[in-house]
Amino acid sequence: MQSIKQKTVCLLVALFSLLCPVVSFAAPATLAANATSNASNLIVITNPPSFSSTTQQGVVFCGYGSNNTKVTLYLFNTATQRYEQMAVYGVPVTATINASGVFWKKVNLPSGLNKILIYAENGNSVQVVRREVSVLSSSLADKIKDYTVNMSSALQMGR
Amino acid sequence: MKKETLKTIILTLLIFSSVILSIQIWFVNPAWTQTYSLASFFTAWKPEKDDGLNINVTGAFNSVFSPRAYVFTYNDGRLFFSTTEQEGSAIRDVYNTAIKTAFSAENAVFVTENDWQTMLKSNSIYADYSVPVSINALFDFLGGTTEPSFALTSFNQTVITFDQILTNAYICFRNSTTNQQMRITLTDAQEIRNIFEQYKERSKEDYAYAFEMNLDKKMNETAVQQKVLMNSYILVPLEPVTMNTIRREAVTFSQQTIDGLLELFGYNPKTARKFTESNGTILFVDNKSTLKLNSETGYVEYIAEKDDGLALPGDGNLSSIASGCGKLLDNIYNLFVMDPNVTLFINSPLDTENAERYTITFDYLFNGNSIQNDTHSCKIVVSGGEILEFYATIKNYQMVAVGNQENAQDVLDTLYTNLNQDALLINNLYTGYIDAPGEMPLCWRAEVQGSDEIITVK
Repeated sequence: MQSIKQKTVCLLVALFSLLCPVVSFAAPATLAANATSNASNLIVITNPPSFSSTTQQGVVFCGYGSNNTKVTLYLFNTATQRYEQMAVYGVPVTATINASGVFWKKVNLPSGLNKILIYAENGNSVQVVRREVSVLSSSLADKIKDYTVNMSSALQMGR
Repeated sequence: MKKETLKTIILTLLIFSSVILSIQIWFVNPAWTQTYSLASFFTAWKPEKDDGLNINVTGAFNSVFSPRAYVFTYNDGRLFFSTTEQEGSAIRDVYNTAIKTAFSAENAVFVTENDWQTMLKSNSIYADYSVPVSINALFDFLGGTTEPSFALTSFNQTVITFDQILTNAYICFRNSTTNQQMRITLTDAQEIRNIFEQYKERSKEDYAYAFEMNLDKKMNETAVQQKVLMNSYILVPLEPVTMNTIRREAVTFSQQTIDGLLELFGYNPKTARKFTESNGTILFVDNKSTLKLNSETGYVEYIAEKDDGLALPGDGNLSSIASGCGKLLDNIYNLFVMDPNVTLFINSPLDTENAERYTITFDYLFNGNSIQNDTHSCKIVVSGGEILEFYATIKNYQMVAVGNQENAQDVLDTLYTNLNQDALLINNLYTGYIDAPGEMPLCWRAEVQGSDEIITVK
């Protein structure tokens, strides 16, 4: 009886030990605003640049990195003051870098200033890269358009 | 009845029948090809045979001086399709009208590659001609009114953009070999603008050019190895691509088909001298040429003896030669029952004018995807406005199954692993078929710096 108990305990310990690495590899659901890296050799983000603005809601996040690196995208939530995992239809936006090193993900961003955190992890190494993308609303784009048309008409009338 | 009367009647009948027979031989069904028929002098009044197209199934003529594919960009979406699809044909005419308008403009300016990329990213219609095209030859083909006097003599890409604010439209011609871009303001762009309005709402597919993703630029970061660089203008599908499977189908050489082929190559089906070779090839011979047909392989070969071949209509310039070859091919393929997804597309440069000899080649596409054979599907050698050599392998294909979906990212990973190099420069990445017996799945093809071969990614 005692030997069965010992074996059961050993089995549970072994199982727990196996599960630990799995837990540590999963990207967290949220990250603090000041999340930091412990590595700088996991990824390079080629697009978008550090600060950018666009009239398009669809933005392609892409770059290259080390083999077996998992990349997860986070969007800053001003209400909670934390970065939260981005998801499409409930599925987190992630990419796994393989042999070629290239990866990309296209996401739709809401209008306004978007603070993005790209979280890369490979084993115990973590690298975070930040990006800010301003998505101009269509009404603002129309205002610019109207202003330009009016200026153009005014210039023509003045000739 | 008296003997003399009977003789008169018989003689009259004989003379009458010989006159009828002569009319048959000279005018109705000549016993020799028209080129050296003595009766050709008498047939000047005969209505010209209609060399127009009955049913343009294979689109060979339409592929001449035409874009092979269009990309519509509207906001952050794109719509990509080949001109072999029904809609591509409709756009072609409107696109050509815009080009004719551009030819008469006097505001052509060279712009930078950065300007070209800006145009590609904005609301636009991009057209890929896939082969270099001479501007003068295109002008001849389209029948423009004002001959262009551009500094750019040939191009292979164009893009039309629409300036929403100032309601202008621009067309930019690009020669990717010399990296020159010439932009022209379109004074009358209403038709092309209408086409864009029609298609912009459908521009929701996810494609991005490599330059938009900066995957074409060598980064200065040294901490992470950059293993893959891509040509700036590779259009990367951001979503999985469906890899369909097709199969080669037999083509039938009925007697009607053979007679039709004979007539197209200037032979008289009733009087052509016919031989059969040991491999089953039927050989037709006349005084000026030979014509071979093999129904098992679909092979058609015409060779003119000396330099007296099959005359093409027109004045022998590049435009008339290329379009004449296209029309001939369409007429040939109209003799067969072909799958509507099978088309022929011109695959030889159209930028050399006044050459003594032209070799015009066509290859098969299935639903816009190229089908690679060991040799060109059709090859036509023309000199002095006459076809001297014609080689074609008539093939038909049919879709068998809808395949799996594959990500371009996985394709890059497989390519990199297979090539086992430290760094890759990918010049081109696209989908296509490789002709083979049995089923042919759609596969990814890559052109990589340092390799002359097109690599199939498996």
